[in-house]
Amino acid sequence: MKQLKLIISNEYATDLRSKSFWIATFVFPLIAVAFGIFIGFMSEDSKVLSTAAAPTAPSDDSDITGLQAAGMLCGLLLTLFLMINGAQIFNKVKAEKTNRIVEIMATMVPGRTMLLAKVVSVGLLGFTQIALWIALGGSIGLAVCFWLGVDIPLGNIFSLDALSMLLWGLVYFFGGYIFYGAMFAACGALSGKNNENQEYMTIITFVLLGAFYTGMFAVDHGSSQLAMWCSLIPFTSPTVGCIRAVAGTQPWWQSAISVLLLYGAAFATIAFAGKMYTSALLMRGKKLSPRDLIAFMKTR
Amino acid sequence: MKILEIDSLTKQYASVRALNGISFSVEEGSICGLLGPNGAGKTTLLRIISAILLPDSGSVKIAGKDHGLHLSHLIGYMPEERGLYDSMRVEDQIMYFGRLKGADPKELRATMEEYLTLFNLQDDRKRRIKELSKGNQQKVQFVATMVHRPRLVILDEPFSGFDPINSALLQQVIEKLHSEGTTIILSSHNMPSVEEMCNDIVLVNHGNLVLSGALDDIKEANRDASQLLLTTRKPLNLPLLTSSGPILNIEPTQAHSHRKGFGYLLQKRDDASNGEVLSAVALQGEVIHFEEKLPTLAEIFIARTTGMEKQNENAGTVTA
Repeated sequence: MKQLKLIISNEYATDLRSKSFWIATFVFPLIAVAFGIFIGFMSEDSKVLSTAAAPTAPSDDSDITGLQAAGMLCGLLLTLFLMINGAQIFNKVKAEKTNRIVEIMATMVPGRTMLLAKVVSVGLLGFTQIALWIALGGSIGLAVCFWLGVDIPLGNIFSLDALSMLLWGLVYFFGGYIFYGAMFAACGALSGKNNENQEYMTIITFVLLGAFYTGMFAVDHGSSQLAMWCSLIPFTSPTVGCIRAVAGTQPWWQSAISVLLLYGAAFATIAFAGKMYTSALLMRGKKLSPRDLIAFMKTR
Repeated sequence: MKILEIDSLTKQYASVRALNGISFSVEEGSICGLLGPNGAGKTTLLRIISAILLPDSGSVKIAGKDHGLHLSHLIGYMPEERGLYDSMRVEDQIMYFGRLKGADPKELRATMEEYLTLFNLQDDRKRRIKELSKGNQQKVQFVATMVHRPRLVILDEPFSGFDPINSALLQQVIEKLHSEGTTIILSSHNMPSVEEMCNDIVLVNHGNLVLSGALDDIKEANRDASQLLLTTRKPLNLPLLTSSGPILNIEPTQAHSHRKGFGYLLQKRDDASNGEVLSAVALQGEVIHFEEKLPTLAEIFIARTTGMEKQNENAGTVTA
């Protein structure tokens, strides 16, 4: 545990000090906002843009409830978070392997601890980024509300529903992040200087997108058989289970099983990826086959 | 006391048997050279000793205890290919590895200062690893290996990439560690360095133990008693010496004493004594140095490994 904390704090502090983190945190959102404003201005004067941006059908506000929208937002956030940070986990693990640091680390720390530390530190960094965005956006929002004299609905923000929604969101978010993060880490362990085995990364990305789209299906069909089974399977439960739990369409016992299965699978994946991490040391310069993966699991 | 005891160690990778029932032990405080041609199983053996890999069967004991990551604080391992975090500062890197070994930060800092001074790296402590020369990076790697004061140090090709000055410096540091009682396992293809520094030798080939023991004993056991080295004050008439008498063959070589002279390597007849050889040579000139030739480590290494190759070819088996 001491080693895990030490690795996490070292990785986190190193990344936090890097320029790329601060550029990604402040420069990219500014560029995105500037781009949005630019498109907005252009659409006012452009027939093409205004036609493209116009809704094709009249909106129906009664389509989804606020809770469903919140569940959908959780699923979307997790998918985006994993897309961005999964690549970072992959790159960090790959770099450590190609730098041969892993051979030294493996004399001190078990593979699963190294991997878990990587996943957690990248996750913490992602949360730091989100916290900074919330702090910045919140401050600007508060300033604007204060300036315009708009009342802030604090009662809604701190209601029991909102807190329970937040709790479910976080439970699924962490479980899903560790589960998928471990898989991205395993891909990094299998890759090398020549970017071999990148196809595993593509497979995971597709699975993640599949989970997201199934989640979107579950927004409107939360009580369907498909949504029920997908909320139990760890590959899809981070989005589908989260959306159903937040929207209140999932019975408590299904939520319990879903969360247990998700966390069990997450830690099993960490153990599997950790084993692969140290075993892959021996297979440098060789493209790994599925048979090699089975051999890794058998290796003591 | 034995710091390392290895018993019947085997390791198999798919169809390749990397280690085939290897057993040997290393006394605490010794410098042991681990030798073997490429692909002999040295790296697998070092990785098992360092607890990176587990053996399929057999046991490893460090200071009498069953080996595992829980004993990592007793071991310092420097692999052949170095691994450091490019963007970390020198002192952060050293402290980080030391702390992962569970050492006390205050003691770590004191040891780090000592080594940074030894390797003339004091001015580089705040620099990032990627800003250092390759040689200095290797020095940092060595310091990071040693900073927690391990009892058993494993160095895999420690001299590779070092210039002669830094190789000599590293050799001095290794000898200093030895004098302080640290046990060192040195895996290297640099035979003269191994021969100069090691008391004990372990030679592996195709995953098998070829020989192990004290270097002097191994040399003695492998010597060819018919080969002699001598130095004379004046040059000898070689055809005259080999025409008859106890000497079969003689050829000039370097002088074998610190005094100036003419050195020769000679082969005596099996039934001839050293006294007869000396008498024959003394007829031509004054002998100022005379000794039985002991084989060099490189000669033993080549003889034993090529001998095994031939045995394997004859037996038609592949062991690795």
